[in-house]
Amino acid sequence: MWNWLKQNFLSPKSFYASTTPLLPWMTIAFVLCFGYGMIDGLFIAPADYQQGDGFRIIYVHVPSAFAAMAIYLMMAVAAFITLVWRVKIAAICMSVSARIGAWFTFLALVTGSIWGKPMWGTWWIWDARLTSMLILFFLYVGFIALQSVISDQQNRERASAVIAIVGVINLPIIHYSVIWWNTLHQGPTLSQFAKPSIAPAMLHPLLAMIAAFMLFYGLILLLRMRNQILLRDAKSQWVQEVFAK
Amino acid sequence: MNIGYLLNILNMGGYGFYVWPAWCITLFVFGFNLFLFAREKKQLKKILQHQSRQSI
Repeated sequence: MWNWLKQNFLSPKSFYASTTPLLPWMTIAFVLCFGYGMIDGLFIAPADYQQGDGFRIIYVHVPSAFAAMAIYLMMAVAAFITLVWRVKIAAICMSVSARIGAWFTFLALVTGSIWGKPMWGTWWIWDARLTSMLILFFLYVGFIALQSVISDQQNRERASAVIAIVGVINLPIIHYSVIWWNTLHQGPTLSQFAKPSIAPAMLHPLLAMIAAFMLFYGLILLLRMRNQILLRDAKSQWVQEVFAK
Repeated sequence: MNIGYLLNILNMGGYGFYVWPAWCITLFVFGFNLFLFAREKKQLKKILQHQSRQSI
């Protein structure tokens, strides 16, 4: 079963072919989610009774922070598959995810800082949530740096996979930091689905923006993975055929 | 469009100085990721073209 899966779906050639029809649908879904989230989040959702219109930063801050963590988890799963089963696609996924995840973490830190100035009166504070997010950014950067200094492909993939797996410990720390420690950062808003601490009129554009960020990640991931696959298999017959089209 | 309405949107209840840059940075990051992909694809094309010439 695993060998069949590996040969028929996880092989670079079949991956390339099977992701081609997904791209236009993902693009359409991203444009719709982002368009709705942006218009509703910026102009339609009511202003917060305490934070006024300043709360509209959460429509980019929360999705970027959510995506940064989700991408790291995805990267760690890919790293595990790379270490155990040595699937080429997983190694490429891990490498590309790190590059996108680092940008999303950077975005979460910057937008959080911009939000912090009017709300807390400071751009930065060594709060548990902020510090753990900064550590996540360093993990991404460390992963990318490690990949760029090891020339041997197999060693590079193994070493970076270990870093990715070890770094997973930071994810629950980020998530529960606002519960475990007395922080300036507000508590979780979305993890309490039974009793969400956000009004539906504000929640809907937020969910749309989270979907948009994840779709953008998926889209860039597939596009860049496809580039990497073509580059790795550049000498093979099927790549020459794809290139000739 | 009424200029007063436009100014009101830009002002964002006094938070425009923070809200708009946050959104602009987001759009920049999205755009830059697309640019990185496009640059990678361009480089890839060059490599593949070079290889196909060599094989001929």
